[in-house]
Amino acid sequence: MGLLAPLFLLGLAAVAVPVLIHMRLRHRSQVVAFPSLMFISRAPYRSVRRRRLRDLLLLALRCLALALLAVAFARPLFQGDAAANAAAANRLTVVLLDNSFSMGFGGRWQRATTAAAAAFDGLGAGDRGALILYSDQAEMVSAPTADRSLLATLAREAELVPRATSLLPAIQVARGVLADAGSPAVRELVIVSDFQRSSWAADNVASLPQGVELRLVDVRSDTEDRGNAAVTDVILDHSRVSPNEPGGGDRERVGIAARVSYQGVAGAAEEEGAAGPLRAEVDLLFDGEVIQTRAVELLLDSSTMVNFAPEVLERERTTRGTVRLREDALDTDNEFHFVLSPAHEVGVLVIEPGGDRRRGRYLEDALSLGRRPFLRVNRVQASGLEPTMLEGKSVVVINDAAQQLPTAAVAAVVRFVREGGGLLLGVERGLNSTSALLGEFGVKSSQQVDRLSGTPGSLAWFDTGHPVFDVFAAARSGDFSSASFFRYHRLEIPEGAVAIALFDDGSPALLDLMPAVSEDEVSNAVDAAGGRVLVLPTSFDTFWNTLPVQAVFLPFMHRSVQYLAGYSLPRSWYRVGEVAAVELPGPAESEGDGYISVAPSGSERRLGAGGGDLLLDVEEPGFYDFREVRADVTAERLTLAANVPVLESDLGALDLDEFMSRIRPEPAEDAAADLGSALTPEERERRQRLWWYLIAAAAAVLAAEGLFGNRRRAAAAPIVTAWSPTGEET
Amino acid sequence: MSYGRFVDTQTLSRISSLDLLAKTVVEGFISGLHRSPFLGRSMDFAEYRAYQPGDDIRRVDWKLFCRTDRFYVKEFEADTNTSLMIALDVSRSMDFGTGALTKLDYGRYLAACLGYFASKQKDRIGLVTFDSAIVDFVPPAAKHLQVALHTIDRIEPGGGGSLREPLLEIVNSVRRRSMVVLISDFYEDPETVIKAAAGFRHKGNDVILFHLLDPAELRFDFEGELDLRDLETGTRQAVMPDVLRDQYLDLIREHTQTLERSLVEADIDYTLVDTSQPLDAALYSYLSARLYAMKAR
Repeated sequence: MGLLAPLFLLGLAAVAVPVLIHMRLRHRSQVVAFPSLMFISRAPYRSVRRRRLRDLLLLALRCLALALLAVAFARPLFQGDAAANAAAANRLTVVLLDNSFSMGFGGRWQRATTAAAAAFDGLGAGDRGALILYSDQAEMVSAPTADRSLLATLAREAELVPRATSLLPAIQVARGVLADAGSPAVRELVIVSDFQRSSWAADNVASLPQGVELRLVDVRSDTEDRGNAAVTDVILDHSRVSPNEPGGGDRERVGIAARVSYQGVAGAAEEEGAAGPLRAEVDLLFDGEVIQTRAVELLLDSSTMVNFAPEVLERERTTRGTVRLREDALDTDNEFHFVLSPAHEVGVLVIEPGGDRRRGRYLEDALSLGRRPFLRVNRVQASGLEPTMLEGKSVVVINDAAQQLPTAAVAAVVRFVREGGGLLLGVERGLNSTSALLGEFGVKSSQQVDRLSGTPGSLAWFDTGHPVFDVFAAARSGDFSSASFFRYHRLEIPEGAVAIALFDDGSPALLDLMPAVSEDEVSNAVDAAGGRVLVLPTSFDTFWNTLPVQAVFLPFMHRSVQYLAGYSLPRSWYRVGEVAAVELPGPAESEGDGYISVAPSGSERRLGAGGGDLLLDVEEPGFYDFREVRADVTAERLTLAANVPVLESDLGALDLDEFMSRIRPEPAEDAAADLGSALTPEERERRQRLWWYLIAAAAAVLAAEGLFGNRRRAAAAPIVTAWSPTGEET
Repeated sequence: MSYGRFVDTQTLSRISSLDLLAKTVVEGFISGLHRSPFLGRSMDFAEYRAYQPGDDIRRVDWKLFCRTDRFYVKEFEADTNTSLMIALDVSRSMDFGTGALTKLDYGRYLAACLGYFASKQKDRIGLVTFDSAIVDFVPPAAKHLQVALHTIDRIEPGGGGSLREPLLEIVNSVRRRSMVVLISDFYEDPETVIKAAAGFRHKGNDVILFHLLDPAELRFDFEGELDLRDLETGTRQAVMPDVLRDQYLDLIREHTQTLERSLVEADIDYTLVDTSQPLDAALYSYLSARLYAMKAR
């Protein structure tokens, strides 16, 4: 034990202050003349002797508080001689145990838990051990402790989790444990894993305190299977059943293709050709029943698509689909789950100018091919538009017909947009004239650009962050530059609108009059600020441009309609480790019931009472169910499918030499900071922070003194022990 | 009537002349009671009552007899003077005060005022001071006001001891039917006080007891750890007032209530006087008693 500021011990002299005050007060009992002690002598009174005893207790508390404060200011610290010597004689073993699901391959997990327990069995008396389980996240199961049996038990009882592996965060956690452990003679880090290639990125670098011994326990075995088969992906192709087919109409057909991979366990180069091809059967299950089976044959380190015959889905019902591979040494990745939710349908009304019906041909064709959502397209000429035609529609497309709309129709369209509908407006003629609808949205043209002579106009830029164009963000995913624009209007951008595409002369090619802040806020923005309006300063036909005959026209129209309708494609599955945004409907009747989520393992969790988006940590593969608390068990449930991370199915081995080369000792100055023996007294004192405990103790003593003193003051007539002046006890 | 009309004890303590003091207090008091029905000397008719054997036959109302055929006697307000005997306790315990006045000072002023008051009513005035024995004795006489005031003026606190003997001696010394005013702090067994007062009463005297107590005695609002010294015996007692207060107040309350209850049962006036308060309460008590005494039988 040492002191950083021993001069503060002079403050101990302050202990004399309450002593002096106490003594002074105690001996200065005031003599007061009183007419008669006739009644004083009759009254029982509290013994002065007892009072003095109580005062002494108060005095002791006050002195103790002052002494604690004085010692705290002197900044005491343990020099660590005894503790360091004791620590120097022992060792600290930190075990990182990989519990990702790939460890379930063959007998790896059994070997891993045994190896981890054995690492602790080797600890001697006074040695300490810590256990950290890790997958793509690290969890310290036991802080450093000398209880070997506890550590071994924890290692043996550890369980696999359906997650991927990442070594870097686990090593960083272990590094913190080793650095904070003081200065044991031996510090050892044991990593028990199958050391998958995917668990360590090529550019990862980790550091450990100097002097730490790193030991790798590879649980792979030469006797285990040479490859791992897995269903890694499923592709769903939705289409509408033709009304002419039996049972058709509004029903939806879905084609299902599953990707099956067969990955080699050891390094591909050394084990090439060692294992035979995989011959297996792949089952397609709907709601737990096998409906199709396909045979597959795969060579090691290859993959293939397994196509199933299209299936017609039932109306208004969510179907749980699973593609299942035969059992192999690692079952967890042999199933792939997905949800087939009922198809959504978006009503679209196309308003065309009167007379020439051919102008809307490209538009109609593009919209009629819509899938996910299906687009129900109706067509009407501007002069014949009735407000009732807008009922049930989500999007209105006006193709160069705004100037022909009757007044009542204009009002109906404006109201439609204000109430959340989407409007796609293509304008050619009449933009410079007084069009009531265009005026309502503040669309003005400063100039009609005529590029018939010379180079026609082209689309020079579009906002790939906007929902309309985000599908074209990837390279070679959409070529708008091939579309020629011979005439268009140079639009003035109204206040609050943004140009999400520009022509090569810089004028807006597509205006979003009510842009959502982000895609996540699509539905909210529609509710809050009415619908959206997209304005194209030309038409959706080939009169002024060649856009409708470009390949990008169809996805462009589909994305535009989806954006305007506020539609987002529901995800058919999630991966474990992702956070799913589940949109729950509000409570149907009563308030406060809320929802229950049922995990694939059967564990239930109560969710909030209201509807809306719920963020759910996906932790298990399988199907999550969401149902209202009071709902009938037979009622339709909201379902979410979850699958294991695809990377974890690749059991390719990590080059351990390369891995070891990426584990580097910390620089000497950093290491010195972690080693207790090299700490300066100031650093040691700062780490120990004994003064803090002393201050807290002084505060507690002062609080007790205050409480005790107040109780003494409040002590009233009913006295337990009393003496008369003559000494008689009453 | 507010106390502000009277001279407070702080002011009284600055008046050196006892004569002037008594005059100041009494005149001020009387000016506040100028419409009081208790004042004045007259032969005013008071009431009728049935004739009883022994009544003076000259007081029978014959006209009423003629009308009713019954004997009725007229009663009038008194038209004769009475004697006022003031008995003032000058024991050492009276020499205590936490305000402007000690109890003894207060008692002196009260005695002087009562004497002056009686003098204005043409009553005879007598004075007796006592501690454990009678110290001074001024027999009642119409012209003894100045003697009594002079005697009061030179009072010094005496010794201590029981009031039993001097009280009995005073009872025996009052030979003529009088109004006896007993001023003391009555640190005595209530039985003794009651016996003495009853002795006065049995001899036909009207008795008023003024029980003077200082605010410190009534509230016992001392703080800290004290050594209390008995003024009469000199004995000391270490006490914790904050602990002792409630017990003490219970005892003093019991003492005063015992005195009041017993004295009222004996048809004796009892007034507990806080020496921090003006003298009017005491004077009122005296007037009430005198009114009672002046009823003609």
